[in-house]
Amino acid sequence: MKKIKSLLPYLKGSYPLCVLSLLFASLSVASKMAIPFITGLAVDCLEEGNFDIGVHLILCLGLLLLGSVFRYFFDFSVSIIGNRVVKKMRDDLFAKYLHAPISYIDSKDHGDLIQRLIADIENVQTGLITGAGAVYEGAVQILITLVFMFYLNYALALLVVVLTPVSALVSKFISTRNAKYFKKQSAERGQLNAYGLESITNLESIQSYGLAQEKEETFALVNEEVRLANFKASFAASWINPGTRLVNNFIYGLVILFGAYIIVADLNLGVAFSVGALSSFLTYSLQYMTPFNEIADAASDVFYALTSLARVQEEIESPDDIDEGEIELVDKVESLEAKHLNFGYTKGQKIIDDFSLDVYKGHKIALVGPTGCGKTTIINLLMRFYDPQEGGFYFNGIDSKQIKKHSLRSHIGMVLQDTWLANMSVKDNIAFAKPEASFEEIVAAAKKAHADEFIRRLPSGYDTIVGNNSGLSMGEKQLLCVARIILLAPEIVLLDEATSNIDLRTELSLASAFDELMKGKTSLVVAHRLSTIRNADYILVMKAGKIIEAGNFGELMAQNGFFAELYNSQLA
Amino acid sequence: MKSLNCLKGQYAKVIFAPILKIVECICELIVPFVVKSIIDEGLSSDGAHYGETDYIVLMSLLVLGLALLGFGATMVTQYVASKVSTDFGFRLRGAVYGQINSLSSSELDKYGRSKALNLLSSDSFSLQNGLFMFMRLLVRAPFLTLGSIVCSFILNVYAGLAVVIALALCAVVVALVLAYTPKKYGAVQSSLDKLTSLSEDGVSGARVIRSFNKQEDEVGLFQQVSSEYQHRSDFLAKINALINPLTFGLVNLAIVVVFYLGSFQFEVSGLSSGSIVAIMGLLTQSLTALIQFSRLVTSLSKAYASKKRLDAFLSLESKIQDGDKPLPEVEDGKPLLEANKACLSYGGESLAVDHVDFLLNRGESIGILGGTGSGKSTLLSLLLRFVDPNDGALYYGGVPYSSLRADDIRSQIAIVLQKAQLFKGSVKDNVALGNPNCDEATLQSALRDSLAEEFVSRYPDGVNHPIEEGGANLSGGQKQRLLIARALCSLRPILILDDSTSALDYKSDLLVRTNIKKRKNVSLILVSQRATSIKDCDRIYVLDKGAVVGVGKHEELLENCPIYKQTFEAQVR
Repeated sequence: MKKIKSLLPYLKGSYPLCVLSLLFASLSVASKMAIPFITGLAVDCLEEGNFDIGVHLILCLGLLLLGSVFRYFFDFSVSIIGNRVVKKMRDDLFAKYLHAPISYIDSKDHGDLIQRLIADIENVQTGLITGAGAVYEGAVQILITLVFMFYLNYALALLVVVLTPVSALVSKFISTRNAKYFKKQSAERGQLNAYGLESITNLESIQSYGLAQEKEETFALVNEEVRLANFKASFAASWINPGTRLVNNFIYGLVILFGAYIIVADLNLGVAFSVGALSSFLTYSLQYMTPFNEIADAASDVFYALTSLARVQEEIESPDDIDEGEIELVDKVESLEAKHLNFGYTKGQKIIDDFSLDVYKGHKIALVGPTGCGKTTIINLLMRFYDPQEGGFYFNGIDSKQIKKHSLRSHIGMVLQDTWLANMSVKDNIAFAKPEASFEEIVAAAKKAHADEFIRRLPSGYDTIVGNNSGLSMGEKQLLCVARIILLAPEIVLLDEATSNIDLRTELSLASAFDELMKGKTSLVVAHRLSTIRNADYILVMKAGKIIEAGNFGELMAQNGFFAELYNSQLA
Repeated sequence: MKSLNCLKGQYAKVIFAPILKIVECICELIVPFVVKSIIDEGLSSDGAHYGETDYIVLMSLLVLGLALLGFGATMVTQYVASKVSTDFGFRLRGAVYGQINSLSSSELDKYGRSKALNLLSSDSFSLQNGLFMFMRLLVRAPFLTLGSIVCSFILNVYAGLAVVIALALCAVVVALVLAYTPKKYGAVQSSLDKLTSLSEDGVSGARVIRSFNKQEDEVGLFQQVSSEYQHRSDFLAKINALINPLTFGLVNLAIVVVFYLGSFQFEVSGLSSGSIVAIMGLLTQSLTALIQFSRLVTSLSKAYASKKRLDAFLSLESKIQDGDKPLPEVEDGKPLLEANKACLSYGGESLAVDHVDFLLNRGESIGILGGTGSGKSTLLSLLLRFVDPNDGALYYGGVPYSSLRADDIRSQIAIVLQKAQLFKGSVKDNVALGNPNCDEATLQSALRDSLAEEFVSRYPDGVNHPIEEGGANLSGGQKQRLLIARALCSLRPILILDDSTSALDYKSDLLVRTNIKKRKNVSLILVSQRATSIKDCDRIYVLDKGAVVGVGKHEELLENCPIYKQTFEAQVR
């Protein structure tokens, strides 16, 4: 119940429509169920030889019109409400993702976050809006049917009511068995998919080592398991429709038997029972089971939806990123310092250990060291994606924690190793940080970044839609990111070099693009290829979170220490 | 080969199942007649069996009997249909898997590996399911609808007409909605795709978006698209909401018409009240069947799309045709692998491999240097005969590839690819893949020379240590070392390393290369982006844009191949 309450804010503004839709449902079901009653009366008139049934027919016409119109309004309004809820919920959740702390996004599985935004919210619509509507409609229909049935003949109605649990038991039995077989089936299918995936990705190995025959034999075994599970599951599932039809037809048969018997034997049960009433009763019993099945279907949707709603709610209720900074950094950054930084992503962990640095305006600072030494973490701290446990960065002497994040970040441009492109055109990607840039400016930036040449070779040039999974190579993506920063021309540049898989020509282009990017700027480079930082003003060598050597290239080589060893090993 | 060939020998069952289904339909169609008899004969004062309890009981039992008979017939159908369709699926998947193996890797790449996997994991099931539904349901709806019409005509001609018109109109409504909505569904789906890609951007680009202070812009963009999604869904709902009220209205309209006919004297209309009740039952039944049918059409059209994809894949034929000559013996220092003006195009404007001459003499070590897109992977595919050249030719020991068996050529070559192709199993399974019966010494020396021993020996269970799918429990460097060990363990005379040491540190890279060169009877091809890794080879080929732009030893290339010089200098600068 508490869970459902959390849905209320999303229904705000739709309350009148919700009430109306319940009304539409009740009216359409009532009209629909009244028709057999009227036709029963008409049958009685005909049986008695009274052929003047004009009134009945006009009533029926009216009812079918009302039934149709309200039915349409009901179906439509339920969709409208659902779509509104979906929109509000998605907008809220997406905004939450963009306002959450980076640590939160980092700690989550990205696929799962998207799953919540897309599939889970859809489940909420199917279950809690459409499903709830169906449950309500079904309940009303059962209720109204029972009212008519009891009104027509309580004894027959009791018979039907007594038989209801039987059918519920039958469908319960079938669906429990089904669930078991389906679980088995999807497990076996999972095996098959995994085997197929492995074979397809490793095809060269299979072919070059001549393993096709052997693999086909193993596949046949896996496939046989799937076939067995498949057969059991599909045969088990195929009991559902015939099973419920059988129960329904049995109820129908029994109603005829007892109904006709009551009339023929002229049993006095305290109410009159006529042929017309029997015909109404037959129609009701024919439709009696339908709402039960519909409720059962919808109920499982509702169940799923509650889980999904909880998953969505969990995200929406997570805290936003707090920005305690109040100072606007209006002036240009004249000095940038790091004072005794200490940091770990979890308690007790020490990724950065007493890191201090003084950066002169316009200098190029390089960070080098083995994987996992904490180089990239420095960028996280400088951008305030994470905050250090002790110490801090100082911009113009102000502790960066006191500066508004928005203001701080507007002075910095960064290119990360994990290059990121939005799913949009090349043009828009380059102008991502500066949407007002003219096309000429964009092209000029691309040229400076040595990206113009390959962009023009793309199918639609600057209008080609790219993204993280498009066919661009890692190096090409990084060139685009460099162009983005060149266009933005920030005061400070942060650069995390890509490590591998860059082809030769792009690598050469990148080296000069980086030079262009950092020309005359204060810059901090995380370097993996030591040859690219020979011209840095100052090089910090890190190991296990600590600065172990520092100086310019010549000084470090002269020391003949850790840096010199690293550098020489790259030339072997 | 077509997908439905997998049904061979089952055709009788495929036909038998729907025929049995008709038994159920007939049972259902008889019921209204029995009800009519009960009302007109047993309950009406002018009936032949008026007031006879036995008659009522007998007829009611008939209704129950018909229900049971219909149920029995259906369950037999369901059994046969389940059996036939799952057997079909089994054979179909076997055929798809066989086809995957019979195509060469380049041919499969051209088709698309993920598409091929989808055929196996999704399309085969969707076609199987389509067959299942076809056998179970396809007959039911039309037969029941037509049967209802015929029965109504038997009961009364005018009433029959009303039924035909109402049901025909219902069918038209359903058909119109079915025909109109797919496009609208497509529009909704494309909005949803946009939402998904925006949300992927929002999550994966968390740092970049924040660094540029673009949060609000992205939220705005998202809201715009989610409004578009909302409007399109609303529009679709507007149309979909028509089906229920219209069919309901039409069927009930027919009932009113039937009553209207009945309101004339029986002598004029010939409609008894029993007939009217029977027609009401028939109409309700066929409406349900019709709605079921509309759902079936959607599923079947999905199955049909799968069938088309499967047929297209199964009728692909491998272009690699085996010859019948035996593999020649090659003496030391004589040409082993050769390419003569080999050209290959993937259909684009430029050639992927452009008139390439290549030579590997037995016992030599050859280097190939080139960047992404330079054609080195394609050249390797040619050497392994995963693909045949459009022009020019390849030779093994002087014999053209086309007169040899592809498997024979491949059995001489051990290749270590960039992609870490590891199988679920043990370390030993993976290393001894190409030489399953190898002795312990061979295995150990392979592990030693590839430096895999370093980490394998640290496992308590040694070479029996399990490896997860794709080597998920190994680091990049460990995977590469196992792959090299696998190639060495196979003891094949030709060894190709395709950028296989990129995840190793510089020292280990050097050590592995030295170990390999020490092994006897190995002709070596080293492919790399690092000039430093191949500078000691007997001969180096420099590839650019598919063509060989330089051949020679390291010193010669520094002299006369500008690309080589540039690359080398950039890497050692």
